[in-house]
Amino acid sequence: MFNLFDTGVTQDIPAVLANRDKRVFVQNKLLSQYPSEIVIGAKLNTPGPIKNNSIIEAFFVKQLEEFEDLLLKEGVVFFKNTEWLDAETGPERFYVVEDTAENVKRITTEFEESKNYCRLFDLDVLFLTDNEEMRSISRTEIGYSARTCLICGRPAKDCGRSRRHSVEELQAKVSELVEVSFKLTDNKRKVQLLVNNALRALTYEVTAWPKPGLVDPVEWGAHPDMNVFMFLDSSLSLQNYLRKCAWAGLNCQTNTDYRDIFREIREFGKIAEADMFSATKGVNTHKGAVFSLGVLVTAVAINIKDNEQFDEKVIKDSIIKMLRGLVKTDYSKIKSNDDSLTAGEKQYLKYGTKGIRGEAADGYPVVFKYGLPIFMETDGNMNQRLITALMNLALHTEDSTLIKRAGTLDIIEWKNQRINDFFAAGGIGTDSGNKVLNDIQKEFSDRHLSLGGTADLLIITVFLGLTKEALNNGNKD
Amino acid sequence: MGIKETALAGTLESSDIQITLSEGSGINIDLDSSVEALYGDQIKKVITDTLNKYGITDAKVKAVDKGALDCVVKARTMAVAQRALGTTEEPNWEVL
Repeated sequence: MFNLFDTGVTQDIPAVLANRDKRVFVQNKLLSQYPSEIVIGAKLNTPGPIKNNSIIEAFFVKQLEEFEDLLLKEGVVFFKNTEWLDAETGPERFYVVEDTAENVKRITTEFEESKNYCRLFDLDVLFLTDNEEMRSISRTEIGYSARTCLICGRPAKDCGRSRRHSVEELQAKVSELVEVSFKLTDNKRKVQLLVNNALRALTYEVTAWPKPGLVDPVEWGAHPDMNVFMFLDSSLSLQNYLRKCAWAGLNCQTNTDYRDIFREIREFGKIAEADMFSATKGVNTHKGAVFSLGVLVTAVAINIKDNEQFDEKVIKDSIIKMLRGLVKTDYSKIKSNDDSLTAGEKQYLKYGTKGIRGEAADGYPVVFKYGLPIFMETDGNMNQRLITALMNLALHTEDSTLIKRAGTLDIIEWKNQRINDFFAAGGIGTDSGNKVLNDIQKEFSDRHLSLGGTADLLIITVFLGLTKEALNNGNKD
Repeated sequence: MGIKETALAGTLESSDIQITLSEGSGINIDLDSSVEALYGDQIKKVITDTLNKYGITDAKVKAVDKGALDCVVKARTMAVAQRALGTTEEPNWEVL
């Protein structure tokens, strides 16, 4: 069992009392410096002789970030003034705040009561009285009840004075609470990692150049209604969605029906699509990516929730489990007289191709077989890695946006021939390869052809690759 | 023995006790405590016993208790006694 108090220097009564005198001195000094402001003294209530160690300090600092967020959201002006975080008597920090004592005490009390582990915080609210004496305001003065005991719920002062509970019992309880907070902090870090990498993937994709049939910063003849800036706006509009997908994946339990996870994120995806259209003023930049990247972020979150080893099999299986029945369900509903059919749906009726939905339902085999290994193994700069992965993905994909623009399945053979020409000429690292690639881009633009579906596969490839690199690097440290 | 000068120790923080010693005859304790009904006699006894150890038999004691444990009451009484007898130097917080 986790014991928060395994390390640290034992404190005796004189040390604790001397620190208390120092605290009161600092509080008085701050109030004489800022007589019209409020001072918050933040410390932890830690039972027993160990008052600090690196874990206690990390807990204190991390949770005060949350407290500062709360002050910001409450519209309070404040600044951090003094702190001693690594003192053996326990971490402490002092804030100077512009507000009334009553309102500040309300906020500090709400923070202390917001989570079980926040109850370990002791936030004193101090102000100068009219005759310039320092005074603290209590919870009961603003209508809250006094603190209760962590163990039994009686008034905390009763249990403290009578020493009703042993130090060991109190330390075990505190350890348990801090452990819960660390789990949450750890999950937030994972969410941030996944969201960052998803945004990197979206923005890297549009930045890679030259891309046939796609928007890049230099040429976008195939998509005259779009440009690179629109793609950057669209990417940023998806942050909230990606964050929600990451949480949904982390919250997946062993007995969860993965199809429920997909139903959950599909609803998030509808909002994300609206956000995207609002960011692009109605242009479809990332509709496919909203689907695929959302599913991938969720699947990688499921992979790393207990164990931060990148595992392609777990990710692929999670995708298949989430999307089980999706193609059959969705395609069986398609009616040929429906005007609102997508390119993929129309082609299913016309050619029997299952498009991106089929690829997704099978766990994105093209991405795992070609995209990811090629992205990871290609030497050269990021642009070369991106273009090489893109052209390989394009070679192995029956891109529904390409078929739609061409109006015929025969376009696939032409596309494959041109991609093979590119690789035969030496690929992106060579002058001859670059020349062929520029020619292909021009041909796509002239014929108004698109590789939109392939771009989505590149985005998830890059997301997987960057996350795999980050996890591998993290594990080496 | 009486005391040389008025002295103060402790704070008004919770779990602490602030004690002021000044001249008086006999030990007279004016205690203000949120737990007075339960622990008032015990707190007064700890203060009196501790002062006696320093040979102080005459002093007016003002004690504001915020739920201090006996060990804290004792430590604060020791500190205020030493200060009143001029046997200790005040810590210099300015250098901290």
